[in-house]
Amino acid sequence: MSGQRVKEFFIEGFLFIAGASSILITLGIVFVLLYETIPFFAWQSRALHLPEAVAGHTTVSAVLVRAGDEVVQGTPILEAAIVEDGARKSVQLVASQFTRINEINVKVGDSIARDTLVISADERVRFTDFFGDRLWAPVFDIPRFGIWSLITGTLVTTAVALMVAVPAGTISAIWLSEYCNPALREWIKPTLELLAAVPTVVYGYFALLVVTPLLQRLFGLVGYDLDGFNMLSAGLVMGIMIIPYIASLSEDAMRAVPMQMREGSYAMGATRFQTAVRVLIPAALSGMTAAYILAISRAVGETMIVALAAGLQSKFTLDPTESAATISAAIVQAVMGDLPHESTAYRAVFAAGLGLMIITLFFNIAGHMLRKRYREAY
Amino acid sequence: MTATATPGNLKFTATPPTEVLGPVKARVKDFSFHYANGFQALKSINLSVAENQVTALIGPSGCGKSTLLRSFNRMHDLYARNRYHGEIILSPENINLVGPELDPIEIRMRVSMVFQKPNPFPKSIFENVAFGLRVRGERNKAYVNQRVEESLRGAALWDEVKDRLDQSGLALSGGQQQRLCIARALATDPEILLFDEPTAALDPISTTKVEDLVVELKKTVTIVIVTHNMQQAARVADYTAFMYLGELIEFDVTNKLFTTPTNPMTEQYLTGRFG
Amino acid sequence: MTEPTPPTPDAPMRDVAALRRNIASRKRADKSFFISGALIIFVSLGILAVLFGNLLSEGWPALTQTYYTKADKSGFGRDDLGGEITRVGDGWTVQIPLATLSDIKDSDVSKGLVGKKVGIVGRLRGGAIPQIIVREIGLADQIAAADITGTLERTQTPPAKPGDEAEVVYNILPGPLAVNVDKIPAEEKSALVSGTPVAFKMDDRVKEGRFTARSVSPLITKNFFTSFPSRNPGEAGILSAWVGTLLVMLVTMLAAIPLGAAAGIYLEEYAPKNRLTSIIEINIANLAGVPSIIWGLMALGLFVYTLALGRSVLTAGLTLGLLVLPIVIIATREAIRSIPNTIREASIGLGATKWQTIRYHILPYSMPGILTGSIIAMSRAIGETAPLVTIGALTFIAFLPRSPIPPIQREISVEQQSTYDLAVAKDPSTPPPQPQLHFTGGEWLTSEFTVMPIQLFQWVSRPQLEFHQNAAATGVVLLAMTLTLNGLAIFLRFRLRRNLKW
Repeated sequence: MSGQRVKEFFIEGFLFIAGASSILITLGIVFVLLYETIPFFAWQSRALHLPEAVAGHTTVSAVLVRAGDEVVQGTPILEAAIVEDGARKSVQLVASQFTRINEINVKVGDSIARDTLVISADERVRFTDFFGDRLWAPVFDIPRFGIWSLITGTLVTTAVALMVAVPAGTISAIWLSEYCNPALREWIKPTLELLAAVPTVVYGYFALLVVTPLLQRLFGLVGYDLDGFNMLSAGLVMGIMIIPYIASLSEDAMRAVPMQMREGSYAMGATRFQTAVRVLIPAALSGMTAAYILAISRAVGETMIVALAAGLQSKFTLDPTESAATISAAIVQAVMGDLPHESTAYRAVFAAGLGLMIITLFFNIAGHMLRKRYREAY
Repeated sequence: MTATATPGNLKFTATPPTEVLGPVKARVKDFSFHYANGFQALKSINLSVAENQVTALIGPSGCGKSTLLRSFNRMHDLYARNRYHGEIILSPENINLVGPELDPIEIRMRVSMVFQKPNPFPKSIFENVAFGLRVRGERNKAYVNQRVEESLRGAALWDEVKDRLDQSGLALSGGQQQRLCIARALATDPEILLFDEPTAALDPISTTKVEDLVVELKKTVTIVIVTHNMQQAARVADYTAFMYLGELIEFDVTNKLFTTPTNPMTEQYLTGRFG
Repeated sequence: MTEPTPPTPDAPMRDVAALRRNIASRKRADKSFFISGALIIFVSLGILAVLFGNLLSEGWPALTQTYYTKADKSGFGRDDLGGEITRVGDGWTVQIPLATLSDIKDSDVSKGLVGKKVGIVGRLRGGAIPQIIVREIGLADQIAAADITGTLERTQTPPAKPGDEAEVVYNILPGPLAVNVDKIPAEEKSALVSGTPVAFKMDDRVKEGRFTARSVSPLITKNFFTSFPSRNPGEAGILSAWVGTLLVMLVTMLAAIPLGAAAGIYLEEYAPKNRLTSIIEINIANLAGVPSIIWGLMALGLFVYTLALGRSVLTAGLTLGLLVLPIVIIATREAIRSIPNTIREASIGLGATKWQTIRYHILPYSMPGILTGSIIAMSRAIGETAPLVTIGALTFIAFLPRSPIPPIQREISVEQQSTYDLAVAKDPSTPPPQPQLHFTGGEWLTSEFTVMPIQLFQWVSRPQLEFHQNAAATGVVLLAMTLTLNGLAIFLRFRLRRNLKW
């Protein structure tokens, strides 16, 4: 009996670990994101190669000159010139806005090849660079880390998607819950949910190679030349993808409204439409809001559709006919280039990811709470 | 909906219904009802509902009294494959309430209903009462205001809620909610008002208020009330129908039915020997 | 108790006609909503159908094209021009034993060409396997510019029996045909190895004196499912992709199902109602909503770098396993929750321990539900692209991981052969390539891989239309897999609901 008890103890222990694993996973995600993001914003020492030749047996002193926004070449040192001051020669460095170069003296001997002259400097991305810039280009010679251009991209594609999915999903939900006969609904609902099961890369194909050409032809009719990559097409297809999320969750919420509420409305001579709009929607509002919020979260985090159809280059624009990268697309774009581990560009990807995580987490928690509320309401 | 077994010593026969005095608002003729699953809930019911009187339907659970009540405003149409047979003729136009040619929406606009459990909508008190007018597309604000006030007064709720008409109907107490539902039903000026055990979920004080209201309302509207509570029927109803296993056993003036029932089953039920 | 009082006079007669007008207008609104709702659902489902139809029609050629499958002795179908490319000094020639253009009717060729020297303007490209696109039979003045030249000849065999039609055959004579070496792109010259077979396929535009080669992939039994990805869209297939998908899914299943089921059991059967439990619950709901790209970042930081698992099958499988874990947990919990308490009480009442109750009652009864959830989870994992792109799986993989299953007899692939040819030209001591698909233990776990969604992503990103065909074909296969899994889950759920009557 005691052997059995020991066994039970270990089994319970194992099951507990499995149950708690979700917390470990979450911690893992948060840890990884923070682990790379914190140094992204912190000063980092790094070896710099001087682009300019330094010759002769002399002592050079590197002097920091901040260039502000005026950038000329290379990173992080944009210019290096030898300045003669009597017998002293010094290297004047112009650094990019992300760099702080410590004042240093370097002895350069004849025997040292000039390209091995190494100066170390500190580098960081400031919050003002992250939130103040309007361009995201972490792998440019002069890297730019303006997250806003990615946020606008995310915003536009999500808004287009919601413009499709919210009306279509809500109407579908009302139709399924109030108009459709139950036997038919048993078939339609799972079939509609298949729309959400289609791999997003397939939707990406669809957006890029079917919807975009179609839109280009439509826009051509009014003499507008639509870009091959555009947020409109990506958003539309994403909208189709999230219809079932809204339809299914809203339908659940509407069906959770007690029958007596419907009967009360019908007994007053209301039509099905009036019952749905005037009674069921107010009654199911928190559940439906939860559906919208979860759909938003889904759209914000969606990657492959936007990466394929909306383009990978960041652009600060709110025009859906333009091409722009979302946060997720920017991550894909960066990792496709095989970034060196521990480089600033590599960390930038994690900083963007952390931003995305925070946005979706906010929506997820809000949606979860609202869903819980409507479940408790009835 | 399983019916209790017929008490062994009783003959299961219905007494021919008594005709009501005065004008008839609705006449139930050879009315039967089958649920979608084939269960026959009502068997050839004949009954007259007197105009501006209270008619009570009593009987043990599963006797079909609620089913009959819900046939008056076609609530059964909400669920597929329920079947009506026979007629419920509404005066004065002599239209058949359960006739397929008649739109259930029209019937429900003329025959309103108050349910067992108060079911106010998740809206303000004002909007709850105005609901019937709103679905009719009524846009005249003054008229809506006037009807809401009249209906709330009619339901004896005005004084309690007049200062908080914009509060949610769900914030009221159970008894108030039920009176709100009555006000909601009154706002559209129905011809018949159906009550499906309106006090089943209420406390005794609220029950008394609702009962008083029912008696008061018959001045303006014909009332049919289903009740589980025989005393309630005795208190509020002018006519009472006793139903059992889907049949109408006896229908008479309330006073007579309760004091000198013709059918021995009615007597058994009233004396509490089954039910 | 009251006697019925005499009723009051009739209430004012209602305006029934107005009532009916009102109802009619409201019912019109109701009906138009019904129609628009039905339309939206119809359109949504229609989009699904269009999506599938489009993929199928686009991808059908790639799925079904099997050029040169009926190879004759020379390795080519008799409809094709084919031969070996040979290095002669600084130039190249294509040795064409007999260039026969059959299945071409008299009316297809302008009579003026017969007996004349014709040129085939083409282009040599492709690495391991050169692709020659035969553009045109040039007229006399174009021959100088042609890459390959020959004389077009027409022979007519008398009918064997009277009444039969005469057989007409066009030949280009003589082989060997000269190949204009300048037309071969420099970077591709190095890949051309003597003896590499080349072929031309004629299309139906002979009439205009124009030949377009659709594909040149001699000796390959081109089959979408048994070919590796290639730079040549005509012969690219998804062999490494579907094998990769299967292997990754295997890891995903092994990671997600036991862990998810265990977590579900703990939360339903053991977890006390306390703060920790509710945190775990909220946490799982949130994990289910974490964007897939974030999972990729986690995998990149944790599995690829911190745990140094590399960009391997194992990393991918674990990543997707964690990604779908919440789905399995939620499904398990729902399945367990639907088991009534009476079952537990009956078992405990007979003296069973908690674990025995779970082992012999709860688990078997909830198994169909767990299975359904796991299938849904797998269908989600199969289509996931972003996390795998993030861990760096976006590479060209033209080999198979060492197989976890017993060996299947395999030939040396053309890719392998050509790589060998290249290597052996530089260093004759290079060992010959080994047949692939070995049987070994866990080596496949650390292998690099590609999966179908990645392959699809790569092909969509290419500008060439032929690659889009391949992408569509991959989409068909991927979608078919996902929809099948989902269909299976729907079917299981239906049956479960029908059979389950507690």
